[in-house]
Amino acid sequence: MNCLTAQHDLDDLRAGRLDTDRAEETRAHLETCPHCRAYAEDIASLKSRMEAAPMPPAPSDLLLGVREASRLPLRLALAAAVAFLVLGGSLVLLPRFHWEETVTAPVPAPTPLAPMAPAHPVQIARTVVLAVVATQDLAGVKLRLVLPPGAEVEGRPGETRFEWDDDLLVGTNRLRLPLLLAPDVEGSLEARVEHQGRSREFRVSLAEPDEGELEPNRG
Amino acid sequence: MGRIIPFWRNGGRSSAFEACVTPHLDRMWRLALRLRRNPADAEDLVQDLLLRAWRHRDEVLALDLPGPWLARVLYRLHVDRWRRRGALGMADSLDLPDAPDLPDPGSVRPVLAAATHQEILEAIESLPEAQRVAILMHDAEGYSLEEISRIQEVPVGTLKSRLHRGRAAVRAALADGTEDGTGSGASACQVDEDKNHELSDRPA
Repeated sequence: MNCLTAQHDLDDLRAGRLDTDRAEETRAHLETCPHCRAYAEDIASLKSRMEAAPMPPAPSDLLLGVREASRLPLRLALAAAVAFLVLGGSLVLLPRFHWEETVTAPVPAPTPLAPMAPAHPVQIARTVVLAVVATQDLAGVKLRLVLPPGAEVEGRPGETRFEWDDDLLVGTNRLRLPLLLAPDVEGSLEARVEHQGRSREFRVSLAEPDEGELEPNRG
Repeated sequence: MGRIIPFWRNGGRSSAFEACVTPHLDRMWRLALRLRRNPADAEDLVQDLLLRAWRHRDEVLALDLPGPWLARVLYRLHVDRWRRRGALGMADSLDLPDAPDLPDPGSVRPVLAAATHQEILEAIESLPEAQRVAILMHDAEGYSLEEISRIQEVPVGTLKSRLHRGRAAVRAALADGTEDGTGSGASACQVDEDKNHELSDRPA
């Protein structure tokens, strides 16, 4: 084996990619050739020194540009919405909001003999379904939910505002919301659906469930 | 018809995209720093990468392993910048197409151990671009030759030649002026012209 071949083989030797005979041949060359042995030691040093060198940390806002870009089509859509409305297109959002089911956790009855607060705050579990009716497939629909104090989404404690984009299919699109409500929850769940500048908003009191469909507020 | 809106699973395509690329941000940042040499240019490069990935998000989200896609695009964006610099007449060639790949006849003693990190960096930065990038991706960032081959779209043999010539040049630069000097043992090495290695480089 000559020096050039041995030096080219070093990476494969380190990675265990040489077959047994070739590996033995390369090792044998390294044992007898001080130049290649020094070269191999330096390559190992180069790797370890470079890998161990500190690097400036990544900026925390690397995704900022993407987030701005992801909102850009929405701004463009808002600008285009005027022309759309003037043309009187047939694209219509008919959102409806209704309770699908209600599950109430046992609430201990107040008693004068137990004035202390319970160890864990009592929450009422309730699943709410937001039904959005679309008359045709809609891409890039922006959805927003805002919860009042005392309400949270199961599995997402502490979050009160949710915004995301999604696509809707023609027909009824259902969004199930498993909520955990404080017994004394007040205020309303706010839901907003927006597409190409047209929007609908809903405000539904979480204090008393209403079995009927609620009239949406005009957005 | 209609559908169930997947609120819990991904929160929409924007969130899904972030979840897809975020695990790769640190590695892309390190690679960008290596390629661009300073944090400001590296951040600019990564921002461009992410915007391009966002424009191709359907393709990226469909990948089982988005890392190689991101690294390949990052490298191409770097080469685009490098070539634009060349268009202004300030750049050398990406490689030295006429340089033969010869065995390193350098010092019979290791020379890197006595060098400072800064001296090693300076030696690497003085290399032709293709050799510099090969060393930074392989020796500094740990990409395998096969990974670099797919990222740069060049044969593994070409990369081996670039690595070898770059490493030999770094050793020579660091040994220069020492008691061993360079080339002291040239006669001890067998020179074997490596005809299989394509030396020119034309990254996409």
